[in-house]
Amino acid sequence: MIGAGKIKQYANILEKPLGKGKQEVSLSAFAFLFSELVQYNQTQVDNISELETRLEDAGYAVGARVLELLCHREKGNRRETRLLGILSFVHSTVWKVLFGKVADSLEKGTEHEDEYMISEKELLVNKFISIPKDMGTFHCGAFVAGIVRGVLDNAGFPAVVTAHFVPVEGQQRPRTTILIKFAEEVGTSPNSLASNIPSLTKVWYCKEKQGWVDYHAWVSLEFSCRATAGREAVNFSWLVGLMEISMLCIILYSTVVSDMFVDESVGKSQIADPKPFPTLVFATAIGAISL
Amino acid sequence: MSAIYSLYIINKSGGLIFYKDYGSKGRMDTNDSLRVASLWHSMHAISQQLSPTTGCTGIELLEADTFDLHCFQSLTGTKFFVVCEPGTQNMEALLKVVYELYTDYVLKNPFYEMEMPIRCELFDINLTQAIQKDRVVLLGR
Repeated sequence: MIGAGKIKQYANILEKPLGKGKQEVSLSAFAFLFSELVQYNQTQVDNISELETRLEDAGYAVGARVLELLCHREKGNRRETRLLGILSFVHSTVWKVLFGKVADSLEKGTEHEDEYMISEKELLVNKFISIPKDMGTFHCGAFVAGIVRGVLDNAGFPAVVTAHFVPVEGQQRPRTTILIKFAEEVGTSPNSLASNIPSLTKVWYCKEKQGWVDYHAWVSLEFSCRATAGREAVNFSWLVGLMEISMLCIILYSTVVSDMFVDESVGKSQIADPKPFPTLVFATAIGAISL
Repeated sequence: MSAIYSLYIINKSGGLIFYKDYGSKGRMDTNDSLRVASLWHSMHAISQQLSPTTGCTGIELLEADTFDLHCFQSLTGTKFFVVCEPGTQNMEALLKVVYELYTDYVLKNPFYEMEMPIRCELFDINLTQAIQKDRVVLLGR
């Protein structure tokens, strides 16, 4: 092959760097795979709305994974905590990575405050699909709606997402609109916060004053906070209060108590050394009690 | 001025799955078009056997006084043939384009059953566009 460089062979697959992988996949291959997905699901269901639900669920799984992957690759492990942020993330980054171009437009609904719409002239998944007349309002874009729902749900913005055909005058083919209707717990302003941020992160952030704040204590508290957040049976609010108080205790302990053990004569390097053992025990005890 | 009279697509068992006429000269009622399709299918098969040369894959061009018939057979046995004015150029290229449209908009459609009549909106739209483009080219010459 002319111009092909020598590909570096790695002895062990674990040593291969985690690159971005192939940027392009054959459109025909995807079209056949998607067509088969639709045909398979058609044999499993009795009516059209069930088929749409199945396609959406398939898309949900994709959306959840895409969110994790893109947060790592594109955004350097940062997450969007604001409504507008996550919507523009979906509209540009997710669309760019999945379909090769940003979505045509992102609009806020005029009738309802909690509705947003992403429109596209023709969804890539629908490129070769003609819906027969007897299937009515069925839209294979339910798969893409599922992807969007997966991304939003896992980012902390639960929503109901559906795909619709919107006829446009002057054009033979209708436009496709993905309608996003956020759940009540998400506020309606573009600055609403994600619903899965632990309250501790909002209030206390690990200011690394050398040696005064114990990293281990922080981590174990954060884990217990997340674990309790997952249980619906537990009354969350008083536990959060307990968390905050215990965090305050830990900070105080680290600052006040550790102070007593610092040897002034030794010098700065000694102060910088955290004292993990006592604080770790203390924090684990608090965590265990709350669980 | 329409150089193409009609376009037929037949499946591997000889059944007509798509028929479109362009202009009154190619027009035929449903029964006649079905008959033409099965007739052509049989003739195509017989010609393969009758041919004096080895490795013959069937009739590609039939020239008559009032029309030409160009035929393209895919590897799977699906036949695309077009009836046109005598002496029309570039019909083979057109048939290849139609084949490509078939693989795209018919075979990738999850709602299309194999060997059944083609009822795909996108296929019709793109086919019309392809024929229009072809006509423009022909008129331009």
